[in-house]
Amino acid sequence: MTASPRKNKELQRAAQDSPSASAIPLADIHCAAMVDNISDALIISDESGHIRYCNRATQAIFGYSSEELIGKGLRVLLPEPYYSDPDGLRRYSDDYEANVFQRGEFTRRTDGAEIPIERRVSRVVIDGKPHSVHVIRDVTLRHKLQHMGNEFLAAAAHELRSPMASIYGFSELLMQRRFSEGRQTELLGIIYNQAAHMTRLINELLDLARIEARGERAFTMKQQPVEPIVRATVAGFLIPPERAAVYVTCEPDLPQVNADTDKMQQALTNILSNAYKYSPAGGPVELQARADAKRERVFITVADRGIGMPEGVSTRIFERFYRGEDSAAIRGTGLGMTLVKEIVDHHGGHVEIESRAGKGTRVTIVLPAARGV
Amino acid sequence: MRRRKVLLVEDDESMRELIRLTLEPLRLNLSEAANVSEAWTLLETQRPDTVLVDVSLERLRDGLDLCRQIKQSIELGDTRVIVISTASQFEDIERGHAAGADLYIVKPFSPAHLLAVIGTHRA
Repeated sequence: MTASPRKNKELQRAAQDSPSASAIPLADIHCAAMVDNISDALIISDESGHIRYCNRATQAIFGYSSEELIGKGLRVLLPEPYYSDPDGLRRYSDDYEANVFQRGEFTRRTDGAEIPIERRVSRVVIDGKPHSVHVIRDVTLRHKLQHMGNEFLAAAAHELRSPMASIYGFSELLMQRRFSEGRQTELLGIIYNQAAHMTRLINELLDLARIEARGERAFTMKQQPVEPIVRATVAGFLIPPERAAVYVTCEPDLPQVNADTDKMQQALTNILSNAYKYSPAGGPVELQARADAKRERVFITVADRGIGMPEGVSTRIFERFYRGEDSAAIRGTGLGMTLVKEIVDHHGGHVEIESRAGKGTRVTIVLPAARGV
Repeated sequence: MRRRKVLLVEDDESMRELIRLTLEPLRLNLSEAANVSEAWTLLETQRPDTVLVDVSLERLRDGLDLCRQIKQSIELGDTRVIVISTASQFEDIERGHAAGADLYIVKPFSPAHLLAVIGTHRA
């Protein structure tokens, strides 16, 4: 059973009303104020494992009010099977010493949910008797982020395995068998294309990783006009063979924006690339830049008359490695729009998609106009 | 002796080409399906001895379901099913075998290995 973030917030709000209780008089009032302000739970237990003190944060993490916990055994905080075992506390200590908890420690909340925690214990002497001081931190969020990171890593590795299978397989065949020269050239061409695909995938993975690792610092923002960015992108864009050039319309006198020139060009390039790729039967690709009447936002739209997307797909295109059901024939990394979203989000903007299956797609980057322009 | 029939279920064009080329020396009766529904049509019309199905991550469930349904079918239950996948963890291989796969091959694979595996089936 996993804890929900909403439940955590509810508990935290309720904890505001429940001060820490104590069977030990705290002589220094400053100490109590400090301890009640930390977000980690602080619990003091005696030799027999009974709770004698807990701070305000304890309720947020465990769900018990502080008064409820005073006098109770530590066992009420332990996860199953220790919770239900009369000898649970001793078994838990033994297992902890024996390094049984590979996944880390968990605690059991009043509602039965198990929360991943980090715990530190130290011994103190109070009233001449040994006590234990436990500091406990809820690490749910950290675990979730780590899990998401691991999933991404695994997904990336799988994506790389597929083109690698072609490269590995065709190389082996070329080495072990004899083919006509024409056939050899053809197979080498396949190896080459797969290697190029892997290169694109690796580059996009690194771009994504860099943005995620460095956040805002990955971007060099500068106030600048929109039109030069658009023109530079189109000028540098390699039109696929036998296709017409991008048809560009820029409204005159567009408000300026705060943008990282290179990253914005990269985002626009990815969108243009998709526009051509997903209109294999041909047709025009148009790019329009305009502002709203109040000059508060700039809209850059790329439109194609290609295969479009069926209902419900347009929200999924930002998912990593998502390529759509009908497009198995069209080779993409599945990361192009993921990158676009990351870049546009960091510009304070968002991306809008309009698409109808069989009719075409319009992708619009919406950016806030720079203030004072 | 009749030619052995193999059905390949694979959505990636270059993978299809690789496997087709790999199996060429066996002179099989090889049919190809790009997805599971095409596969069923060919299964019924061709009645292959062996089905080779790629269970890449997006279509993992479809591929394993296909395997399971073939093995549970009265008419097709004797068909040998070989699964190819990028998923290589112990649990993935277990899942493949639990679905009834006779063999589980991890991508990237050696064409020589695939050739040996397909080539040694007694029709």
